[in-house]
Amino acid sequence: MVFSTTVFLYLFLPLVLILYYISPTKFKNVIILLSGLLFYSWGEPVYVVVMILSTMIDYCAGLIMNKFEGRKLPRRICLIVSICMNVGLLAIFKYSGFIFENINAVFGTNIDISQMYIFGLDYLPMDLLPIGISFFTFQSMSYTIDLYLGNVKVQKNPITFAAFVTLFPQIVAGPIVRYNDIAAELESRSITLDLIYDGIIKFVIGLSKKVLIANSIGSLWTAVKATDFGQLSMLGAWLGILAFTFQIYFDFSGYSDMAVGLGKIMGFNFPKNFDYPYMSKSISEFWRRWHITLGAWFRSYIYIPLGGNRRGKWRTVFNLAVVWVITGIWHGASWNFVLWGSLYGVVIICERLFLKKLLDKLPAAIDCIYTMLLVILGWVLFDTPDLPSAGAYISAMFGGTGILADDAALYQLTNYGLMFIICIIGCTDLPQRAVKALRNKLAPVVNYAGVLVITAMLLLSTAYLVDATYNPFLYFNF
Amino acid sequence: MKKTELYKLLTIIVICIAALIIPTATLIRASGMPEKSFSETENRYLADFPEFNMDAVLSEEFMNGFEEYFSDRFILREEWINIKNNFDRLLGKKEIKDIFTEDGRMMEAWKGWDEKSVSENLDAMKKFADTHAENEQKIYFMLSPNAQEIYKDTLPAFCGAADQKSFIDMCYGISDNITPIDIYSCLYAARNDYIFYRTDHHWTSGGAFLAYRDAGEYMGFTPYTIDKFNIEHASDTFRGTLYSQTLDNSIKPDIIDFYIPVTGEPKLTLTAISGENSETRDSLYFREYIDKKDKYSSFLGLNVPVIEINTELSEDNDKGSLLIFKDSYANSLIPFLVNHYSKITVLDLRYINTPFDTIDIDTNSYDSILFVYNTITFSEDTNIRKLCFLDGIDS
Repeated sequence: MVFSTTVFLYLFLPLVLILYYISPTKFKNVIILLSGLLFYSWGEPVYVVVMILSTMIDYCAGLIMNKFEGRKLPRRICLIVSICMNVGLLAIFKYSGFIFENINAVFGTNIDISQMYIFGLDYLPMDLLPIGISFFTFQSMSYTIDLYLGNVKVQKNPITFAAFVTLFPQIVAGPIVRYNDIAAELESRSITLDLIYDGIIKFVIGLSKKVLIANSIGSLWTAVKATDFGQLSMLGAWLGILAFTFQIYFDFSGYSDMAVGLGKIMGFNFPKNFDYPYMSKSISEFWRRWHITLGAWFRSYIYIPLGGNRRGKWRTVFNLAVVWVITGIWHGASWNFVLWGSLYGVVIICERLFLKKLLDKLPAAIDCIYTMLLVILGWVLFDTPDLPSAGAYISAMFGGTGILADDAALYQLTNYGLMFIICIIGCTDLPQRAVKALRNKLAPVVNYAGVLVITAMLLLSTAYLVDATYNPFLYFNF
Repeated sequence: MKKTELYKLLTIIVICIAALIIPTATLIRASGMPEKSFSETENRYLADFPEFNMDAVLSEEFMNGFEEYFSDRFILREEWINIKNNFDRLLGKKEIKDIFTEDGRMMEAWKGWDEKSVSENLDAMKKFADTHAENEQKIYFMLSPNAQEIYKDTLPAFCGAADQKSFIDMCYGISDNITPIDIYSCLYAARNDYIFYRTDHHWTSGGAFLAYRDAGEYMGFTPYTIDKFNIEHASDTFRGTLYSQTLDNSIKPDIIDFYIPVTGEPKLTLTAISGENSETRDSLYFREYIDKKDKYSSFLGLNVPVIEINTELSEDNDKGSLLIFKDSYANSLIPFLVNHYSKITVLDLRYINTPFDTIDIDTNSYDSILFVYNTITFSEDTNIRKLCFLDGIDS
């Protein structure tokens, strides 16, 4: 299930929350587990077993690790088993198509993944990606790694551990909540009205970002993507990729906001996932503000264990390169994503080596333009089907087709002009600062107007969900 | 402990009320609706509660079906859609669901056509015409522009609406054995009159009358002048197919007019044939539809594969037998044509699925053959190719 459906919003969520609130504290985690399983199986009735499998492996690995307290070798074996199993699930379900595609290309073989089934069972096709697999494997791996490193205590209660993995707000699209983040709240949490209020505000804002903004601007990108890139005008190409730039931000951060909001409504404090990334002044900063929990995961579990920046300049460069290639491929199994991640790696290495000093001397506006230009070009790689079409698209952006603007692009500009303005303002911290400033002067007015605004946003989003002609879920690749 | 502020409580209460009332009302509404519920305004059947079994769950058919069911029967569904469409317009969207709403009129957006598909249609027509011309049969082609073309100057700038005039000219040039009927000029000239519905994709009876008048010139009958008709306002609350998409209440409902000859509707029998079923009537007007949503169906009823109309005409007024291949534009044109042809057979290729040998019609036996289509349907319909399988043509 995804959040942006009427069934989730007006059936699943109210029912689950009623059960959750009325059940005694010790049963709340059972409700989380059951509702999470229902939530996940609604979209993946078969592959829910993958999630259960991943959960069981990591739970058992934790128990065994705990048993061999102080003995390095068995603990290390447990960790390796857990990592291999989780990465193995990813390899099978997410990357096998890509791997065989390349094997076929290199060796001239003809292995057709779409005709292959796991264990030969015809309802377990190999080429189907269980939704959210990249999120829940990473979440559950965080437990075994942290346990190995001694950062967390073992979780002996299987229900509590399973509740952590199946906690439905964060199951399919992040944020990547680490066990360590909510270990204490899993055991005992206080649900206060203030927290519920904060959660509602966050959720409704997230829902509106997704349904009202991302879906709306996204239909422009869908239209541009369907055209022949060789005939695309310069204006059309820029409008298209800008539309995607906004779509992915409002969609993804909206989804994270909804997750954080739901978490609060249920008594959890999830880590922040986005911090106005499009206001960044360098690529390094962009990645500290974009999908923060993913960056933090790679930092804690790959970059730092590899030695981070403590082993000299060239080892640091190597470590960064490793992290960024993996970051790329985490986003999807294709060469576009590998290149996308690697290029970010190159830029970040350059920034670290010399570019940062230069950027610091330049005016902030130029730094912002530099950052956004790279980010936008990155999105071309990210969301075009293959490298040749990404090339054709970028060429169109820089006048390669020789058409400056055509009717189609001008028409899109008139149709989406206002939406673009809303997007530009909406991805900065301007609205938040405005509310803050107003609140300092007219707190009661702002607070009570807020009741109306939030209700209106919820109802308007509902209207868009009821008539959902375009409501994509963008993270099937992840 | 610090007390929670009132505005926070208020927010929580309001949201909770919404989150409880909406699902409860929806479930009550959904369970109160019968199976196979038809939405008159949206002009479609609503999704039924999906079948629940292991296969349906594993294949996700149940889940998808349930989401559709819940959305389709959502409380105040039409009002929600209205809110959305209005908000879209507010944001500057010029098209809602591929429909332009300009100058008090909704128009289907048509931005081009598939060359290959259209040329296949035209090839089939040409083949058919060339074979039938050998029997001394006269073949006519009436291709109507749509409202988008006639009112193109009201469309938003740069909207990419394709030029229907050149499309029609191209289609008209395919075979010397087909006589094209130019109705474009007279429709365009009458653009200030009520010739297209505001909320429906069809032409009005007034538009069809102009086409009929032009057709007379080409087909060799003397069309009745306007004063030979009593115009009956059958309805002024018609909200058509385009309304069903946008649910835009700001556009004035349409008027349905019946052009009844002053001498009364000619004595005729109409037989609508759909597979094994047939129904015979003595009027072209299916007045029961006047009280329903789908009021355009009061012209010749619902679309069916075959309609036969036999009319008693005086000999000097009778041009003989006419075979019509058509889309629904013809439905409001045929009431004019019955005054000049004693036998009219109407074939709607879109609805003919049975092998043709089961349809007892000899296309070679008609004095004249007429194709009546509107540009959008003609460019998108792939059923015209079925002509190749009709009698007299080897393919």
